[in-house]
Amino acid sequence: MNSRLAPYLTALAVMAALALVPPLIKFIAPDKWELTAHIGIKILLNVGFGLCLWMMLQAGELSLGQGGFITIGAYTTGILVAKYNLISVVWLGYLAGALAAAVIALMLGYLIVHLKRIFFLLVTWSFAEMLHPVLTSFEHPFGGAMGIIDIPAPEGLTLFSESWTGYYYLALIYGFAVLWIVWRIAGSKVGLITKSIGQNDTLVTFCGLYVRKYKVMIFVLGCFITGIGGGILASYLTAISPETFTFFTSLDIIMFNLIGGMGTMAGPIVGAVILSGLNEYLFAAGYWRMVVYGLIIIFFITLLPGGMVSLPAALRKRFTRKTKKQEVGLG
Amino acid sequence: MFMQMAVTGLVLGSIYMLVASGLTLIYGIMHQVNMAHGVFFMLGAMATYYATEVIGLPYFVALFAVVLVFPIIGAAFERGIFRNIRHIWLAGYMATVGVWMLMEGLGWQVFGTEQKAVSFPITGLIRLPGGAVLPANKLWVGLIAIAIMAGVYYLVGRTALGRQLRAVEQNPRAAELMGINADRAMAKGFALGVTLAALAGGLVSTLYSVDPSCGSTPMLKAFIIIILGGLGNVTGSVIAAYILGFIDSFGGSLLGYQAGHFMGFGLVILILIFKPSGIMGDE
Repeated sequence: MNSRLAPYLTALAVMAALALVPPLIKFIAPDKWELTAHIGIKILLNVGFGLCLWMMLQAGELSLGQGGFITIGAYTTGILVAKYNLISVVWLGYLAGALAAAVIALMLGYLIVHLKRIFFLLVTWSFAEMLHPVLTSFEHPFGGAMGIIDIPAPEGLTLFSESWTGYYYLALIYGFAVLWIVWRIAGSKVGLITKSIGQNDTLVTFCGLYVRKYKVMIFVLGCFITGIGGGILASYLTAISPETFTFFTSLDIIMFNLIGGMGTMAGPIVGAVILSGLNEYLFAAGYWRMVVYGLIIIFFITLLPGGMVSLPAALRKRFTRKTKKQEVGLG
Repeated sequence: MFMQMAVTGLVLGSIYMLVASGLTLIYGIMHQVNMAHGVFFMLGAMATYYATEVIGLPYFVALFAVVLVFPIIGAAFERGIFRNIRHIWLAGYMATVGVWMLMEGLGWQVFGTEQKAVSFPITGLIRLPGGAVLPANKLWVGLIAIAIMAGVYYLVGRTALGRQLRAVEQNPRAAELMGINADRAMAKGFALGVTLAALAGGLVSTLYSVDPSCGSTPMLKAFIIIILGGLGNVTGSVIAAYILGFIDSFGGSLLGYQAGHFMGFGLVILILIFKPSGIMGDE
C-alpha cells in the first residue's frame, strides 16, 4: 500500500465504521440510541475543538479563550438565524458565525500574539470572561441573561427521522474535516514554520520569517474552525445563554490536550474521547464531578505528563528499568 | 454618599490587597500562577467558621489558629504536588487548577451547601466625618487587613526570611550559590501566600456569608489586580487593589456589577497588550 495514502485510508475506514454505528445501535438497542448519539455528537465536536487548540499549541499559543470563540460562533448563528431572521439558510449562519469568530480573532490575535506562555493564556482568558457581562447586559441583540431560543436545525437534516441522527452525521463530518485540515496544515510549510516558532521564535525571525504573520494566521484559522463548531452546537442545543459556554468549556479543551498528550495529533483526539465520554457519566455525580476532575488533572500532570498517548512507552520504560535493577542486583 | 462609597472602596481594596499580594508573592517567587488561591481563601473562611461557631473559640484566637495551621497546609501542597513540576509552566498552572477543582469538590461534600456566617466580636455602627455610616465590623476588618499587610512588608523587607525570598525571586540559581535552599524558600513563599489568602477568607467570613465556592470571585479580582500591578510586584498589587476596590465600589454602585466585571477584564487586556510589566513596572 502506498504509505502516503495510508493515513487517509485509515481515517476513511474509521469514519465509515463510525457512520455505521447509528443503524447498528438502532438495530440492537433502539432505546439507547438517543443517549449514544448525544455522547457521540459531543465527542466528535470536542475532537474538532481539541485539534484546533493543538494546532495553536504547535505555534506556542495556549488559549484559555476557546470557549469564548465557541460562544461567538454560536451567538452569531443564533442572532442571524433565529432572533432576527436575517439569514434564512442555517448553513450560511454557521459560516457567518465562523467569520465573526475569525474577524475577532484577527483583531485580538494581531495585538496579543507577541505575548508568551502564561501572558497569552491570561489575556485570552480575560477576553472570554469579558464576553459574559456583554452578553448578559444587552437585551438587543444578545437576548440578555435569557439568551437566544428556537435556533433551527440546518436544512437537509430533516431528511433523518430523528434530529439527533442528523446531528451525529453532521458532527462526524465536522470532526473528520477538522482532522483533515489540521493534518494537512501540520504537514505543510506553514505547519513546519509554526512548529519551529513554538520551539524557538527568535531563531525563526533570524531565518527572515515574519513570526507574527504565521502566529496570527494559525490563531485566526483555529478560531474560524471553532466558530463553525459553535454554530453547530447552537442549533443542536436549540437554546443558548451566556452560561452555556463558560470558563470550564475553555478548560476542557485544554484538558483534551493534556489528557491525550500534546506531542502528536492523536493526543487531543484520545483526550476528547475520554473526557467527553467521562463528562456525560459524571454529569449526574454532582460535586463528585469536580473531585474526579481534579484528581484526573493531578494524576496526568504528576504521573503521566505525556498523556495517554505516552502510556505504552511509559509502561515499557518502567518495566525495563525494573528488569535492569534486577540484573544489577543479581550481578 | 460619596464618602460612604469611598470608605467601602477602601475596605474592599484592603481585602483584595491581602488576596492579591499572596497571589503575586507566589508568582514572583515560584513563577507559578496559583489557580488554587481561591480554594485557600475558602478553606480559611471555613476554618474560621468551624473554630468560632462550632468549637466556640473567640474570633481572634481562630484567626491566630489560621496563621498557625495554613503555612503547614501550603507547604504540604508545595512539597507534594507543585515542587516536582514547577519547571514546566503549563504543568504548574494546570496542577493548581486540579487542586482547585479537587478541594472545591471536596469542600461541597464536607462543608455542605448551606451558607455560613461568622459573627464579628465588635458590633454597632460607626459614624465617620463626611456623613458616612459604616458597620463597625467592616471598618475593623479593613484595619486588620492593613495591619496584616504591614506585617507582610516587615517580614519580606526586614527579616532574614524576607531576604531569602527576595533573593530567590531575583535569581534562584544565584540564591542557591549564596547558600539559600531555593526549594525551601519557595515552599515558605507559597506557605506565606496561602496564609494571606486564608486570613482574607477568615476576615471576609464576618462580612458576607460563605460557601465552598466563595473563593472564586476574590481570586478573579486578585488576578485582575496582580496583572494591573505587574506580576510579582507586591507594591504594585497593593496600589492596584485599591484602584480595583474603588472601581468596584463606585462602578458597582453607579453602573452595576456587570459593568465593573467588564471594566476589570478590559483593563487586564489593555495592560497585558501595552504594558505587560503593570502600572508600577519600569519598562
